Amino acid sequence: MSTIQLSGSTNLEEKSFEFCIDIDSNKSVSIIGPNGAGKSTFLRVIGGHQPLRNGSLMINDVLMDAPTDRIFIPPHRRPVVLQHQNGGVFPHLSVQDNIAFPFRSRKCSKRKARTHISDILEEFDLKTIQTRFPDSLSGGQRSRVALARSVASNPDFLLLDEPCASLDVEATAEMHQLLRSLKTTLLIATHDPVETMKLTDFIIAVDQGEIIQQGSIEELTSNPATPWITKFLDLNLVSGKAVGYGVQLSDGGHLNLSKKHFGPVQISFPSSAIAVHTDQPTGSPRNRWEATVTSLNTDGDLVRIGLNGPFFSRATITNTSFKELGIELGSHCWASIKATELMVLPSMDPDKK
Amino acid sequence: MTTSKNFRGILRLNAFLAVFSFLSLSCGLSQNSLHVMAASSLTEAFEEIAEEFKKETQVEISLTIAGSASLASQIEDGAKVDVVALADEETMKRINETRRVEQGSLKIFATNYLVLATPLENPESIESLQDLKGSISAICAPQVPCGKLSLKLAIQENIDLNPSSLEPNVRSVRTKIELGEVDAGLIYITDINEKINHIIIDRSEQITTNYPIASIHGGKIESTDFIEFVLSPAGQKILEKYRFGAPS
Amino acid sequence: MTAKISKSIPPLLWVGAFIASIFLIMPFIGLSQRTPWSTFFQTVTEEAVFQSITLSLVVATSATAICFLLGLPLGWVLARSHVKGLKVIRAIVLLPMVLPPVAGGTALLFALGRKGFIGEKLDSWFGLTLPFTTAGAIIAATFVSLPFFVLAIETAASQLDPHFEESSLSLGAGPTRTFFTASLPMIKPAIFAGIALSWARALGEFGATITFAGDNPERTRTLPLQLFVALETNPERAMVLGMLMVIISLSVLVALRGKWIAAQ
Repeated sequence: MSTIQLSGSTNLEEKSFEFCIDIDSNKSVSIIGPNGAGKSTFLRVIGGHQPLRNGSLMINDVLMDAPTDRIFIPPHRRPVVLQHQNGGVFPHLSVQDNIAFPFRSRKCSKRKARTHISDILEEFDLKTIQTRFPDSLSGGQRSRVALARSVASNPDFLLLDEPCASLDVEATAEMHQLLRSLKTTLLIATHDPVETMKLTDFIIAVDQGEIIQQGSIEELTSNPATPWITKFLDLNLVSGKAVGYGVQLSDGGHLNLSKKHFGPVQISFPSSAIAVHTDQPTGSPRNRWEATVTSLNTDGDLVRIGLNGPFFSRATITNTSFKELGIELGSHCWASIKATELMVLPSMDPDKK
Repeated sequence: MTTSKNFRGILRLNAFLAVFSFLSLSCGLSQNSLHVMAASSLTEAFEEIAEEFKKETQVEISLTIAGSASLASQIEDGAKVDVVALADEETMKRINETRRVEQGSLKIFATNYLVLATPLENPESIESLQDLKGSISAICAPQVPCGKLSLKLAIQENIDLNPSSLEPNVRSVRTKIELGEVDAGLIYITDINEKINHIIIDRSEQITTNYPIASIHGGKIESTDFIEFVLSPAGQKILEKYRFGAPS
Repeated sequence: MTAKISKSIPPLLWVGAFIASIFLIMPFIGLSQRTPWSTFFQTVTEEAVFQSITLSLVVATSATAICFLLGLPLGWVLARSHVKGLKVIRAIVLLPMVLPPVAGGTALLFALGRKGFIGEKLDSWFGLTLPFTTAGAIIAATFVSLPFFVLAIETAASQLDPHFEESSLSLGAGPTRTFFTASLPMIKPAIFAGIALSWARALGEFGATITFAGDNPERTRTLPLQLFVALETNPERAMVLGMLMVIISLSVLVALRGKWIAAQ
């Protein structure tokens, strides 16, 4: 098992950052936070592009950065790869030469490198475009090349800085599927809650240059440290197979869409869009299901309710309506949502095809 | 809107400046002034003569100083000029072929000859032309009068000069000597100064260059006055001060 | 497409651009009109002229090679280092671009001439003198053309997205390897532009050469010096030489600029 132990601070453009965290390779991690909170800086410290001012960083129990002991292992000798938002694919190298880059850097024998490259080109479906240059590729293809190249470097931790920020919906879904199939432990700086929920099991929330909360998605959702985290995670995500207006969810249950879709899809919807009722609702909402209240959290004037039905979902309602409903933990109730509130993301997951 | 206004303003200003500077340049020679072109070796002497001439006649002299060959090229190309004073007769003949020189005005007003010059410390102990062999030396390029004179001298003395550099004018030969970049060089007696050491070459004074002066056809009437002034005792006294020889 | 682009340019700029182009092109039209084309080839192959052409090519190419070897590191350091005092260096580096070349040549004499503070040592220790030698002409040409190369590299290096280099480092390539396999290939267009500019500048170098290296028909009389001599003795030859320089420089600029655009 690989580990990262970071406890230190750094300065960048007159802003100071302080990080203190242990990470192990058992779980993939999301680093979330508002713009300028320090997500990228956090990754850059681990990657070795931003030296610590004080404190220390250990990767796999080896000291990487310890200013007081004058220790600094440069990026190219760390067992991690930091992949930038734009991918950093070299425009002057062909796809295969880009992927060969880490092998050539690490003075891998030519024969060995060739078989490795061939495997990776296969794995990332790049065989057909291996002789092309990045300029002629689509954004999705380019980020696939970037990812393949990072994986070729065989790092213990792959640090991704907003890997899908510049991709369209389709390419994002494709990228997510690829990332999920990787064996490498991921540290993803992201502003996309879908990414967090789909790809990672652990969240590090940063704000104003500090880690303000860390834990599993459930832990952060049930007890968010700041309103920002609450808002960020205020999202339900389910997947299933669409046939026209209907979606058969993979966890069981059924949802109706406002537009036709076909094939595997992911559907997200904000928790505030769910309405909670004590009796079976009548009227306009197209989607309704029976559920049990599994968690209750009060956050000022709002109450967050965990609902276990055909699928798990979270609802947010006002304190006033909560009191009117008179529900408590274990209560049976009805939930409903308008079809227009459902956001459909195409999914490429092969197991759901 | 503001930017485009500013921009237009700048453009107008530019156009104005361009036209203005053009006009001021082309009209730089006021109607009252006499335009005189003189060879580089005459620089100081002619500056003083111009000053004295103005005191006497109130006529302003506008002086252009350059190598004789450059002056000839400029005049051939139609430069505006009233009087021309050169460092050799050959170049004057060249001018006469393309632009007419007022034949009556053509006079020899001074003579000059070459001396051997070395840096003050004279590192190669050069005492005569014979010592130039194997040393680093500079002379004027053959296209300028002092270069022609140097070659004439070399033939008379039967010496292979083999210079390291052919300088575009006599002043740059002197500079190279002053800086110690060359061990020796040939310069006019009129160009010697206290920063260099000079050696009179025995028979050099026999090979002189004549400085001709003439007015160019179509020049101002005051041209004659200026030429007369250069030839007058007052003008000759100034030339003598700068070690020019009197015309024979 | 063209019409669209034209529309977005204020008419006043068109006028300015037109005048500027005419101003730049005019002298070359004048030159080509006066060039005695019938004797062009004959003049170019005259021994003295041919020697100057060869010497010019040797001097310009050597100077460009030195510019590449020295200008690349300097341009890179200027773009990337934050060491104090670099601002002063940057200003000094650009001096030869704005200084009259004659002043540059004089300055070179004071440093590398026989009595110059370095030249004196070169002379007494190694018996090396630079003035009046081809090496001196190369140094004069390098002096005036180096800033063009440095500037090209500096601009490109400071505009290069640092993410590429960080990616290379992150993928296991050390700083040296990163420089040669990632950074350098990515500024290739700028390197070509720098080579074109400094070569053309070195080819046209006159003032610093005649001041520092003198005019020696065999060793330092490059094309511009030959042109200068011809101007006073043989105007026809001068026109041919002038035209020849226009043709050589123009073809180098066009060829390398073409390559530069292609590389982008």
